Amino acid sequence: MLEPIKKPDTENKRGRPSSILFLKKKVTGTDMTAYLDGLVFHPLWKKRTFVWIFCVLCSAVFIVSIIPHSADIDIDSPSYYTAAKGIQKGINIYEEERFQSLADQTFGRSMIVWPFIYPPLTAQIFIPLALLNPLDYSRALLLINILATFLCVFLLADLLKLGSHPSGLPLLFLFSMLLFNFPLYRTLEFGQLNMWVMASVLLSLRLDKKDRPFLSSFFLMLAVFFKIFPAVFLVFYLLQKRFRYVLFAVFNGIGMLLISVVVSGLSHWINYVRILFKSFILGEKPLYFFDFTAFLNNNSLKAFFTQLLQHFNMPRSSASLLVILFLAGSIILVRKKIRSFIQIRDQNFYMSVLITLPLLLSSMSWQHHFVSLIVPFLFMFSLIVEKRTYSLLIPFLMMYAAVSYFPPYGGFPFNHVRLFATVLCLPLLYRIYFTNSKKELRKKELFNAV
Amino acid sequence: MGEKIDKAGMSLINLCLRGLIIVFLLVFGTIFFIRARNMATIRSTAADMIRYSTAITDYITDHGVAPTNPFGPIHHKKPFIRELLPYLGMARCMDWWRYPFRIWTGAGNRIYGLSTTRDNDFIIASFGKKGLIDGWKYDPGDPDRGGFPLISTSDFERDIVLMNGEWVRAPFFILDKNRSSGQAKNIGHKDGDEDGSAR
Repeated sequence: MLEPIKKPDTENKRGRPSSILFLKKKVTGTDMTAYLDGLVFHPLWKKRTFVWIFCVLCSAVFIVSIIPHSADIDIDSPSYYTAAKGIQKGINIYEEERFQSLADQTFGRSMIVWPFIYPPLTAQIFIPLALLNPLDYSRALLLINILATFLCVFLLADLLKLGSHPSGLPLLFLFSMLLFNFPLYRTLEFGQLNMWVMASVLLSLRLDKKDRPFLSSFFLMLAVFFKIFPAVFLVFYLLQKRFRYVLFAVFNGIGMLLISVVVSGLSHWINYVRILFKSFILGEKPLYFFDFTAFLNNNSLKAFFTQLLQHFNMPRSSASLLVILFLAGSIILVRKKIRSFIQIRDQNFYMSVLITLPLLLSSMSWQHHFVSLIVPFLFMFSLIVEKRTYSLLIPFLMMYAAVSYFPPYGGFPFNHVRLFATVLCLPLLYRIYFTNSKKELRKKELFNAV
Repeated sequence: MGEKIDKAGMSLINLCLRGLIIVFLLVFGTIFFIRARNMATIRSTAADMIRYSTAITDYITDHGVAPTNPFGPIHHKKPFIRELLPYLGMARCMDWWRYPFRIWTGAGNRIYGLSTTRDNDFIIASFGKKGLIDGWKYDPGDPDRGGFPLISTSDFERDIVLMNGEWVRAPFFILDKNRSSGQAKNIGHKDGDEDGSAR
């Protein structure tokens, strides 16, 4: 006679494993990756209805949170308004006293109007807006900035091909980046031009991708005339020996300069070159420039070293030397990678690097300038998702939070958290980009096994 | 290969415990980080106030009177900054909470129950974390009343005040530092007006 089958101790009366033994169940890296894969590549993130609702909701929250700033005049944009008025009246907008006198007449003495430090072309572009009264001008500028923001979102989604990405998460992440993003909000509150510059650069890259170098270089030069930092793309193209592109850019630049001279005369450009010469060659900086590197919200390398020296009661004149040493040391560390970087044709990668570099090279990196890091962060996130390298998600999210959500105040060195995150952003980007995806690793394993 | 995978990995209990430890570390790390940031902010603000005080004192030595600023908040447009610049070495007009420093110079100012009676008197203040004056009044009978501990977050909202180069109101660690460096705590204005109407 057969003995009855003894039920194993691991099962309860219903034949299921007990909860304690369930908790003792082994979880491997493969299991965790599979679980995360299920989350990241969930079909919900690709469902058209869900995506539309999410994107519209994020956009609505973004617009609603920005709209209150239409009730008053921006902080930085009166500078462009005054410069546009000055250009129309033939006043030297680069002479501090005359500029301030015009600003006092326009806005009153109680209004703080920062000096105008951009090329005359920027002031000329603002002439049509300067026909409005200051409050309407401020509102119009806010509207243009909001539209430029959405244009940047569209261009980024197109450049990174988020629509055809295996996961819908990067597109959702892009829209979520609009929410309570401190540098972005600062840009819009201050009436700054960062979104115009970013839109021009992204448009330039998109046209370059479509093999239209002349039009691409036009938008790049437009961005250079707004803020000098996009010129780093031209340097990169020169190193890539894309001489035809650079030549087109030079033609476009000369063309813009000529149009500007024809419209408002040569005197403004002469005054601009004179002030640049005085500031950077002769060192005769006006008061506004003098204390820039001491400002706690200047998150540039030079500001960091200046404040570091002040913290230890040492002379601040060594700050520039420290910056040069730091950059030289960084270049020496990555010298082998630089050559391979120049040869890279992946536009998304070099776009992310080149947009980040000026924040480190400039002596003025205000907190609103860090809005341009939306580009590398989005690229990194899309790569992490595509390559399923989830272990890099934690440092990525920490850096993203440090740049986008860290409060603007803080004693030294806490006021430079954004700068530290930006410095670390480049090696992280490099690491993510050159990490093999799990699929490629599995293919290699299978190949080796065979 | 399958057996190897089964032997690898960790149990769910282990995973949950590790997750809890990480969350615990993150929470406490964040609390300590915020505290450290607030302490650094108040230290940097105090250091800047001492710089301004030293610069004004040096200016007074050369000119006999303090540079003019009767109304409080400073800004780079004001002649006050331009006059002080050669002595200052930097022109940081905001405290590290991102609010303007308040500086009252010359005779006739009444703030915090303090009054300036001479042309070379000056008061420097930072309004703290929220940038709002907190209504504290100086008591000439109890000058130590100006010291306060930094225990909760709301303590960082208190104003810190310097008059004629000496701390009138500050966290204890700043006052103690000054005592150990031999700086007198009595500001010498015992006839301070109790009106203290803020400008």
